[in-house]
Amino acid sequence: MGENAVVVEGVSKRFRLTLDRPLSLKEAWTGLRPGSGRPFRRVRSEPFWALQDISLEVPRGSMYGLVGRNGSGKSTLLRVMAGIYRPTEGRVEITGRTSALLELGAGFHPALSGRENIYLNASVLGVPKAQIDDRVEQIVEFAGLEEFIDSPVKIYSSGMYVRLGFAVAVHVDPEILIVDEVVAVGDEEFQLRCFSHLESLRSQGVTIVLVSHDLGMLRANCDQMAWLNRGALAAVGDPQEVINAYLDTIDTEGAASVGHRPRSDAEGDTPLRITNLEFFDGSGHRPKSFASGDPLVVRIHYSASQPIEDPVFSLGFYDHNNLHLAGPRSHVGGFRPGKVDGEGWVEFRLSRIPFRSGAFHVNAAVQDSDASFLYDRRAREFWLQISGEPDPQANGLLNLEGDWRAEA
Amino acid sequence: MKGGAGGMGRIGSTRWSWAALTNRGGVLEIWAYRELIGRLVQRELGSRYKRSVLGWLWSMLNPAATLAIYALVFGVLLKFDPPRAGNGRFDNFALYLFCALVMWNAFYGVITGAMSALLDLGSLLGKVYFPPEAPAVAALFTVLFQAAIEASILMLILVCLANVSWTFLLWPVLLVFLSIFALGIGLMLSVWNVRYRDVGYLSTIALQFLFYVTPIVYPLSLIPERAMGLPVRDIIRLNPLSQFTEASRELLYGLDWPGVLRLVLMALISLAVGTGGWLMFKVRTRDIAEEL
Repeated sequence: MGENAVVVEGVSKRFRLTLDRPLSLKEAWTGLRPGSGRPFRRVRSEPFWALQDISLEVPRGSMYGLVGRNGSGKSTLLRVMAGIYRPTEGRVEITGRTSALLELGAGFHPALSGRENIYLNASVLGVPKAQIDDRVEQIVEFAGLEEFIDSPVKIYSSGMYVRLGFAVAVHVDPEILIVDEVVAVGDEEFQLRCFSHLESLRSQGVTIVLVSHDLGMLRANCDQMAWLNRGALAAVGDPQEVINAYLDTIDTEGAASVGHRPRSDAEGDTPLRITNLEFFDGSGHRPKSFASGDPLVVRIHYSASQPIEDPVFSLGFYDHNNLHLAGPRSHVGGFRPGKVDGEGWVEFRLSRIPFRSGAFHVNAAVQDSDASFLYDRRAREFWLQISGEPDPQANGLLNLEGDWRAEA
Repeated sequence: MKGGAGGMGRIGSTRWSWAALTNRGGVLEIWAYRELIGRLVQRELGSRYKRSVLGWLWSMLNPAATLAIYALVFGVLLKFDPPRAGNGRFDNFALYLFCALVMWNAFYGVITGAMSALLDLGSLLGKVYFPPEAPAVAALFTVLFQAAIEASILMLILVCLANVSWTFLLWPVLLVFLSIFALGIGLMLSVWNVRYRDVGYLSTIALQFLFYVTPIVYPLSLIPERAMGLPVRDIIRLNPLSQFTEASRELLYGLDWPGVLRLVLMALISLAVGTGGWLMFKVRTRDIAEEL
């Protein structure tokens, strides 16, 4: 076995948009299409390139993430990897038993019962019956479908479909597991179980390729990532870099639409630059991760090549999905740093971190005194890791420090 | 190759070797998916023969009724004359008919089974990979099972009438040739059936026509040498399916050997049609996941 589980070499995939394909032999032979008004003329369908010259390698035993916007070709690429679509150009080499979970109701036949579908799916994946006999109860239990397993799957809810699909896919001893965004459909508790199961599979050496929009999860779990943009590979490699590049374009496009200047303008000759961002805890240390509820100090280092009066510093806190959570600005409370010149820093102090656990990125920007001119902006370079949880059962992004009261 | 199905494979490669044939997309990859075919056959038979005795009876009801109707119409009402049986002691139109009908039933079953199997299970092809011919091959085995039951009943009756000979032993070989022949045609039609929605409709008509230009409900001797200026008897004789029905009658009813030359001819025809259909199917289903 080679060191790569999946090798994709120069793969392109063309689809014909088949709207004008003859639907019956009658149409095919006569060239007549009802309502087309153009008898005896076959309308040529426009080709559409869903993937263009994709090359990537997935090392054995690694977790590989794919990001990209809807319609960027992620699912097509997964299907090509799983052998469902044939590449128009290039080739795919896949070494090991592959199990793919591509969409809702992964490979289920609606008229068959859940149990029959387990067997059907397992045989499609080449798992011997005896082995599945041993696993059936485990699968049913994992999916939480004890009551419904002998009913036809057409009566299942979408959540039940996904749970059963996932349960089968991970219980057939795959060597390579290909997972589309499907898992996002289940409830939160099931998602957690899925991810912990994926983790344990990976620790057993299973290669996992997955598509997700949950950038924080990808960043935390993937060894490598690739970003697909309009069917082409836009970035590949280190998860952090790929995510940054991906978010940057979204950002640039978003910023362009509201008239902001992207950060890169300021890079060369701006008189005031942000040189670094540091996170301290209450006692002046710089821990790798913080606990929710701890004190936090964000120190913004700057470097000014000429004296500047009362610049406005601002921070932006974002969660892993780029949701803007907070944006404190230095002049709002009346704070004035005075004249800045040369190297220095300003601090933003929080007595208690309100964020729940996860990875958050912090942007920093500096503007002139009436906040009309942007000197510098650093986006998505600084990550704040929050791990400790005062209440692991809580939901949401923030801990709100309120009090409960009752009136008797 | 451990685990067989879904295993190592080069997708989109064109190198030819034994491995390339049995790997993903290879012509013979079906071998790696025997477990799946077994499961599909089991599923089909399971639903058909559920609740043991009654299930078996129900599954025989349709062929028995067909046989009875044809025997009534053509044997009793139209008085088609069957030749004497091989042991020279009786002649019976129903049995003479049955010998050919069991062949036709298998042929018809494989073709319609292959067509509906791809439509039925094809939707799964967009979600999970398996060789697209697997459902058709499973349909073939299901039909063979049914044919074996029918043939057993037929042979049992013939044995009771003391019309039995070593020629019976060749009959299963004939059935194998017929299956290969029918599977080739069935695979071809099933691809078109996916692509064009009127193929099912047209093939029903074609099969009906074929039924009557094959000596099943009539003996070949009943057909005039020439009609409408055409050598109709020779045309009907040259219909490949006639070879099978006639040979089946010779083996079971007439207790006669069909002759080596004819057997070789039948083998060649079925192999040609079978491999031709199979190869065409493999080529045309490479992108089937996008079409279904």
